[in-house]
Amino acid sequence: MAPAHTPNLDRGFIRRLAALAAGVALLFGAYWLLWSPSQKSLVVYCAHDSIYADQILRDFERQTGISVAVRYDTEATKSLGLVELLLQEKANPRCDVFWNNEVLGTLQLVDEGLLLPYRGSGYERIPAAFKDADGRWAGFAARLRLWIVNTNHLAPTEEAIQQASSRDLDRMVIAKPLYGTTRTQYTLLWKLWGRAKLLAWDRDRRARHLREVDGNSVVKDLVSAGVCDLGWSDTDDFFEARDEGKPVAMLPVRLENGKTICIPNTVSIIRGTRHLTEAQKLVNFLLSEKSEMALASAKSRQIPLGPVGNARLPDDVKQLQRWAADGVSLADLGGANAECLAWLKSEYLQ
Amino acid sequence: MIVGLLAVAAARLVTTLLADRRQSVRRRVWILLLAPYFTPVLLTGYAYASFSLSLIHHPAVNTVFYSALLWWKFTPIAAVILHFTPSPISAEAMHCRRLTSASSKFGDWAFLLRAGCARGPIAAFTVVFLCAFAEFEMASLMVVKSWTVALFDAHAGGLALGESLRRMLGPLLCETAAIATAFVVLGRPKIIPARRSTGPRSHQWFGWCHLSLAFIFVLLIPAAMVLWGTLRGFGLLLENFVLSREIVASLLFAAGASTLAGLAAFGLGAAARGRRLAATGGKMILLAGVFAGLLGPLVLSLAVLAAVQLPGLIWLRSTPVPLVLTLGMVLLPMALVLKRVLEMSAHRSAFHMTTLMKKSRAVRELTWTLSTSGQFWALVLLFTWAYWDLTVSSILAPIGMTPVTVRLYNLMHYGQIAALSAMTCAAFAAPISIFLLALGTRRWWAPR
Repeated sequence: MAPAHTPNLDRGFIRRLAALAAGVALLFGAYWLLWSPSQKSLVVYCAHDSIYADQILRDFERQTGISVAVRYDTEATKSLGLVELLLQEKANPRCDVFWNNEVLGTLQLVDEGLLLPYRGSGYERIPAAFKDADGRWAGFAARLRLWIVNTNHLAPTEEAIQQASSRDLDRMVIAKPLYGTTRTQYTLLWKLWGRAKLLAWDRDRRARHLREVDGNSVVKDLVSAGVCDLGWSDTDDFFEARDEGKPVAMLPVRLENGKTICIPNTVSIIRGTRHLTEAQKLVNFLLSEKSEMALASAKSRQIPLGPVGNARLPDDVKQLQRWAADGVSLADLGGANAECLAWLKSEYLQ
Repeated sequence: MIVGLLAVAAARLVTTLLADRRQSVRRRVWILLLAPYFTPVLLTGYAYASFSLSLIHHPAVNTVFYSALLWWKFTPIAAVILHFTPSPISAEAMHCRRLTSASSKFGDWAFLLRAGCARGPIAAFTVVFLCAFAEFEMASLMVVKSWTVALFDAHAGGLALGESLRRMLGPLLCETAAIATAFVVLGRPKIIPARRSTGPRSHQWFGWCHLSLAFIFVLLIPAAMVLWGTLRGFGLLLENFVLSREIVASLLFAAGASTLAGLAAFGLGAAARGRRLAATGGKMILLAGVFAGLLGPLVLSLAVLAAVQLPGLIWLRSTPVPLVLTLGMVLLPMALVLKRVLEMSAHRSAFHMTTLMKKSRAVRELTWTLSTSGQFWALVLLFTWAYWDLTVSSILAPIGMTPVTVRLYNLMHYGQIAALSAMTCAAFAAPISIFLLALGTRRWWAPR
C-alpha cells in the first residue's frame, strides 16, 4: 500500500513554488524600476473624482516636469477616508499635497495643525470667502448643492418641492450625511439652527421614511431612473444625468437666509512635506485660471471661483456662477464642524 | 447559514451529475459548475448595481436576490468538496443493511453519521458559510447592509482600530468555529469512498436547473451587459487604455500572495510533519498565520496599516510587502482547507504505478494528473481570489501601484458607462490570459 504522504512529491512541488516566488519577486523588482514613483515624486492625496482629476495632474506633470504619485479615495467614502488616513499618518506624513473635494475635512486638518500656510499667486486670485485667511487652504472649482427632480414625476418648482418634502418622504433620497457635501449641508444647518433643532428635524424626516444611500451619484441614479422623485445632490452629478438625456431638472438648495451652498475643492500643503517647492507649484497650478477653466469645461461643470474669461465659460456654468454668488461662507463654521461630525459618527458608526 | 445549507443541498444534487458515465456530460457539468464561481464578484455586483438600486423600496427583495446570487456562486465550492469527499457508504450498501437488520430511520442516520457520511456535507457547509459570511464587494455594490459593509464604512468614517477589533470579535468567533469544524471533520482518518451513484432523474433535473440558473444569473447576464458596454466603449478603451499599470500591479500582487499562501500551506505543512523542532516551529507559524487570516481582510489590513506607521516598520509602507503579506495571510486558511481536500482525494497508489511505467507523453500527462495537478489548480484558485481582492488592496496598496479592482470599484460607483464596461472586460481578460499561459507550463509542475 502507498504511504499516506509522499514527501518527495511534496518537496518537488515546494521547490517549484519557491522558484515561482523568486520569479514573482524579480517581476516586482522590474515593475518597481519601471513604474514606481521615485523619491522625488510629489505625493498627492486626491478626493476629487479621478476621472476629472487625473487629466489636470497629468497636465501639471507635462508642464513642470514634476512627477506626481496620486492616491485617490473611494467614491463610497468620499474624502473622509483620506482625512482619516492623513490623521493616522500625522507623525510621519508621506502626503505632500491634499486635494480635497470639499471643505470640512480640510478644516478638521487645520484644527489638528496638519496644514502648512502658503499664499502664492494662485491664492491671491481666490475670493476671501473661499480661502483660509492664514493661507492653510484655498478653494477652487466649486459645486453647488441642489435639488434634483425627476420631471416625469414632479414639476421642478419651489412650490412642488416644498409640497413633496412636507409629506411622506418615501420617494425622496439623500446621501448619508456622514460623508461629502451632504455633511457640509448638515453642518451649515447645525450652525444655523443649533443642535436641538437639527436633531428634531432629522428625526422627523427619518420618521417620514427619507431614503439614505451611499453617495450623491446614487441619488442621481435613483432620481433619474424614476425610482425616487427628488433628492439632494451636487451639480456635477446632475449634469451627468442630464447629458445622458435623463428627465431631470435642478434647483439650488437655499438655506433659510436665502443663501446657496457652494462647496469648493480645496488644496493644501501637508506640514512635514519633503517637496515644498514642488508642492507650492502644484498649489499654484490648481488655483490657476487654467485649471479652473479646465474643470469648468469638463463634464462636471465646476464653478470657477477666481476671475476667468467669461466669454469662454460654458452657458451652464454661467448660470451656476450667478447662484454661487449667493453662496454662504464656509470659512467660519466655528465649532459646528466638530460637533456635527461627532453627532453624525454617533448616529452612523454605532 | 441559509446560503450554506442551500448550497450543500444543491451541491448534493449537482454531484450526482458528476457521476455520469459520459465524459462529455461530466465536462459540461464542470464548466457550468465552475464558471459562476470564477466570475468575479465585482462583475456580478456591477451588473446588478442598478437593478438593486431600483429595489430601494423593497430591501427584502434585494436581500433575497443577493442571497440567491451568493447561493449560485458558492454552490460550486460545496460541490467540489462533496465530489472529493464522497460518502463511504453506497446506496446499495444501505439497501443491503436495511434488508439484513430491521433498524429505524433514526438508526440508519446514526449509522451513516458514525460511518463518516456527514464529513463532506459539514466541510462543504463550513467553507461556503465562510465565503458567504465574509462577502463584501457584491454587498457593497448591491447596497445590501451586511456586517462587512457596515465595518468598512465605519472604518472609513474614522472608527478606531481597537473598536473595529472589538466589533470583529463576534464574526471572528463564527469564522473560527467554522474553520475548526472543517479541520476536525476533514482531519478524521481516511475512509475508502464508495462508488458514486447518479441519483434519480428528479435530482438530475434539479441539478441541471440549478447549474443553468447559476450560469445565467451569475455569469451570462453580467457578462452580456459588460460586453454590450464594451462594444460601445471599445474605441474609447483603445484610444486611452488607462488601466494597463493597474492590471499589471494586480497580477503581481495576486501572484505574490498566492505563491506565499501556497508556500506557507504546503511548505510549512510539510515542515510541521518533520523533525520535532522544525515541526513545532512550522505549526506555530501556521497557527499564527491562520489566526491572522481569520481576522478577515478588513481588520487585518487595518492592523497592518497601523503597524507600518511604527518607526521601525515605516519604510515598508511605500512597498508592496504589506499588501502581499496581508493578502497571503487572508488566503492561508483557504489554502490549508484546499490542501487537506487534496490530501484526502490523492491517488498515491495510482501515482506510484505511473512512476514504474515507461516514460511517454501519455504517461507524463497521467503523472501530472495524478500528482501535482490538484496543487496547481489550488494555486490557480488562490491566484483568482487574490486578483479580485478589493478590501486589502484599497487599504494597503502602495502609492503609485493601485490594483485594478480598486480603480474599477471606484469608477463603478459612477454608474454603468460604456468605457467602464470595456475596462472591466479588459480586467477580466488579463487573469484568463495568465491562466492560459500557466496551463502551458503544467508539465513543469509534474515530478520528473
